Amino acid sequence: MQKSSAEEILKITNLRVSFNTYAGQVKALDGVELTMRKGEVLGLVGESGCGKSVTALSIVGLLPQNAKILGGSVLLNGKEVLGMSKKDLETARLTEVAIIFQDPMTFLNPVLSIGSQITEIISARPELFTEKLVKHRLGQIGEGTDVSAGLDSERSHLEGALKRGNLGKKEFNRLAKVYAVSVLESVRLPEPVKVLKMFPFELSGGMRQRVLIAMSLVRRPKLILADEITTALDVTVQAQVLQLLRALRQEIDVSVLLITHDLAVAAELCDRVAVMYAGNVVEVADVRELFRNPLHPYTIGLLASVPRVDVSSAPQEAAIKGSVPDLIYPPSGCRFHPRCPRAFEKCPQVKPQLIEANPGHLVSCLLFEERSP
Amino acid sequence: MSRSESSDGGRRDATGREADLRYALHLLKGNRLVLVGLFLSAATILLVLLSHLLVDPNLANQQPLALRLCWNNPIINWNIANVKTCPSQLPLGTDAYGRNLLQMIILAIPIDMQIAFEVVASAIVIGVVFGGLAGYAGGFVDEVILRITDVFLAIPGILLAIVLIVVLGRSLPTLTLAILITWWPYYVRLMRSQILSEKEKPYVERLRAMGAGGPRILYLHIVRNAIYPILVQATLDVGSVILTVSALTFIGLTPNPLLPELGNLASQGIANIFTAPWLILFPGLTILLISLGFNLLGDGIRDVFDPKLRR
Amino acid sequence: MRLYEYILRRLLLMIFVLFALSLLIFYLTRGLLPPTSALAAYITPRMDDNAKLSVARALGVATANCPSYQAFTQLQSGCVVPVWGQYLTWLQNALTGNWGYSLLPGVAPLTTTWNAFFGRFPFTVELALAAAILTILLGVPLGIISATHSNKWPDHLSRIVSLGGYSVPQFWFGAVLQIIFVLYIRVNGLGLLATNSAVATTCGICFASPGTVTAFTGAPVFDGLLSLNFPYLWDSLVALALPALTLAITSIGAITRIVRSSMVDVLKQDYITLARSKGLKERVVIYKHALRNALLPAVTVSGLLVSYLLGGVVVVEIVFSWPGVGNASLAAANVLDVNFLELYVLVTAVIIVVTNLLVDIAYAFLDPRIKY
Repeated sequence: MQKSSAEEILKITNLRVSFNTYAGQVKALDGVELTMRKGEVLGLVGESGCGKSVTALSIVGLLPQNAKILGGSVLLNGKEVLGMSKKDLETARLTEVAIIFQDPMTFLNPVLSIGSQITEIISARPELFTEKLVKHRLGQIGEGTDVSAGLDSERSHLEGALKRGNLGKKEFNRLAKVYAVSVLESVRLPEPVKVLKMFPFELSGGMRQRVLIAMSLVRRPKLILADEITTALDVTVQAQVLQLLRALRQEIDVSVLLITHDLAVAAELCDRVAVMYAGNVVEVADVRELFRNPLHPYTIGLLASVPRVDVSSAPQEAAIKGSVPDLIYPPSGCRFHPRCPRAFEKCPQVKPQLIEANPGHLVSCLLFEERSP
Repeated sequence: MSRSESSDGGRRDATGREADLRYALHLLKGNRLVLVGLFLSAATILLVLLSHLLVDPNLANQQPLALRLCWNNPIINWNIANVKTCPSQLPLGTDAYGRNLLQMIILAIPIDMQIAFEVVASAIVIGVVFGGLAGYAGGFVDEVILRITDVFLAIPGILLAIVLIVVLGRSLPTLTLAILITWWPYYVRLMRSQILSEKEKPYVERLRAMGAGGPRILYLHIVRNAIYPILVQATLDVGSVILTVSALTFIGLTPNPLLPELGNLASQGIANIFTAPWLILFPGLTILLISLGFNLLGDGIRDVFDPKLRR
Repeated sequence: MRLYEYILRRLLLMIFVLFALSLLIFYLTRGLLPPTSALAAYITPRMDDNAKLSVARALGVATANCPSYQAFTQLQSGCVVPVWGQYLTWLQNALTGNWGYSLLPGVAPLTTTWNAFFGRFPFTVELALAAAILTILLGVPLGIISATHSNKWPDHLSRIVSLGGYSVPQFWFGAVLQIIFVLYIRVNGLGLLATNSAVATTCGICFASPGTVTAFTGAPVFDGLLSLNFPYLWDSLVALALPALTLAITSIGAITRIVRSSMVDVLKQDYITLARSKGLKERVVIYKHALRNALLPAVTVSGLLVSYLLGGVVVVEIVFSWPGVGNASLAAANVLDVNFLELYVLVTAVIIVVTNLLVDIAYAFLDPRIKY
């Protein structure tokens, strides 16, 4: 049983997940190691198919039916998620962790109104909105900000109503609606009261994404998993959503796991970045450190293949040779070795572990294994 | 899942046909009922082909009335008073004319199946032609065809069939025609909606942009892709047509009381339901098995070909 | 276009359909047979030629100028009214409420077709409604359970039921039920559901005398309910049980399949994953999120099911000797009772078209993406 320190909001150890498909067993996650500190924004970058979303789904226990968890541990705030009971999972999803998906057109129920889909979260577990919890949550909002001001009335409403004891159903529903409006306001949605009555198909892509963000904020989670939330949006909307996230991050003390394949997005928002390849975490470092001094050959290749405006010499598209490996029959040893320009004879034989090459800079590559203390 | 990541790695788009076949086998393996359907349908067709070899068709015209409604099968005991025992052992007893019921059932299967195939085949042709026309041409032609189907779909088919048979006379061809006239609107509608959705697909525009030689070739391309649901529906409908035919003959619209036909045999049975229950049970059971076989088969084909079920 | 415009358009379409149908039926019954066949049910051998001719004139088959009955039977020109002329006469009569007298064997003489039809119609309505209720009450939950317990035993059981129901010949199923309940399950020496009419006359578990019943609607169940005559109500329900189940079995099979497959599809959708990720209870996810979407295809198909039920009554009524219009329609066809057939077809068409319209409107309410 793994132990986590009080400062770690998330600790994933040796997570192995495979999928049963008609073509064979897809070994999607091959021993993922990931640790997140409270309050940080950790970027999880990698190409499509490397297992980023699978990792996120494992944290909330929403893997599809054909998925098999082969082993490992996922500690969410110290509690083991794998093998958690259904009821505990539901509670965890409601209070501890929220996941924001990409492509909001398919992620919102087309026949229910936006308001209905938000207030149901609040109505789901009224008993969780205990006086102490609500006070604690509300207290976490930074003072003197726009969001805080918008929620002042809510704060007093909720506190007052909770003081009276049991909330009547009608009052609670009304409160839920007001609360929902305030949350929509906080994600900078124009005319939130109108939006409550609208249906998903009536909103634009950017607005829908904000609704999804709002849904995750409603329950004040300690950890937010943002799965490719800007991928389905065009560039201008992307910028707006990122700005929103940055603002929210300053106002609300929450940890964010930002999953993306876009390095630029990661560079903008994250404190630390973890790079994934073919079901493994291959490098983790502070964001500036990673971009300045990438260690893993894959990371180096990734960064080199991003065209840069400031380099005046002839642009070399230093693409990584080869293609993403077949996860049904993955390469032996280090999964990157067939494409690695610095592979040597030990690479196909031994799977590298994630070790600390420099302080705070973890890498999973045999090139660094000799040097580790 | 409509996510940008696929959870089954990079091999998904390997050789298209090989992957399709593997997927189809995977589905079939998991769905044993389809194999049951395949077995039943194959058995039915086998009986159709062998029927006249197994039983002499002339036996249908004989009426050994002395043997009427008797039973003699040691395995099944009806526990009813007054069941007549046949002189010799018979697997399924005799009917109201004294004929061996099992033999009559074997003679009846090809008759019912012939009607079913004729109706379904004709309906496919009509559906493809008129449904395709309606869907592809659009406009006034579409409107006219749609309204005509509206009229036919506004009443239960059996009513129309009854009137037709009474008016045109009771015979096997009129039985077939009557059922066909109530069946064709569904196929026209189905084909039309398929064509309409195919028309929107990008490959059609590509073909047009390449100047793919005129409406007829375009039509063939679209029809080739649109036809799968029609074929699935046709397989399912073989069973449904047999249900309809037997219902019509059951209520008395049979050409000839002696005709060995499953519904006809059953109609003799209803008059004697409490004294000779086998006469309605076994013909009906045969209908059930045939219909079940084709329904399962049609379901299986649909599962394999339905693009929505692919990942 | 707005909602009421849509309804208006559909109603106009319905009128067109009714005219076309009445023409179709008329042509089939009068146009495909020699004119003398229209007289067959009305004339007796004892009538002399003049009487026969006047009958032919009264039916609108022979012209007023026709010299003699002989000329009529020889189809001399100018003697026989063309079919479309006959249709117009019939149409005129029908629109003014004159549907002639019933030719059904076994009805009292001089009973109008209208009365003969609507005297029996409530029995058919009762049967069809009961079957519809059974279909919804049994089919929908079965489909939901099948989808949520996919590939476990409730799923397998319900797939067998649904496949069986879909494939079974209704007359056979009715016969099997009768055999089981009349022959083999006996109470007090009497078959449990031994009935031979729409109201059980020998009900071994009811009170002795049924008391009085006022015919509010003509259908035993409703009349019994409205007259507060509970023994009679019970008798009628008992008599209704087997026929309704027989009629419903095919649509139960169909609805279960449709609900199951659309539930399975919906449960794979991304918004269901999101709903679960919100920490909602599984029950809420299924009934609030999934069902609303999954029922849409089922609603669309209910129009078809009504059509199917109204067709199935013909066979079921014959099997159970149920005194409804389905039973009578066969007799009417045999004697070429044009009026009865026309009335039957048109009433059925109105029901089907109106039901389809209501279904489409209901669909528009359920799916906010549809706007008329």
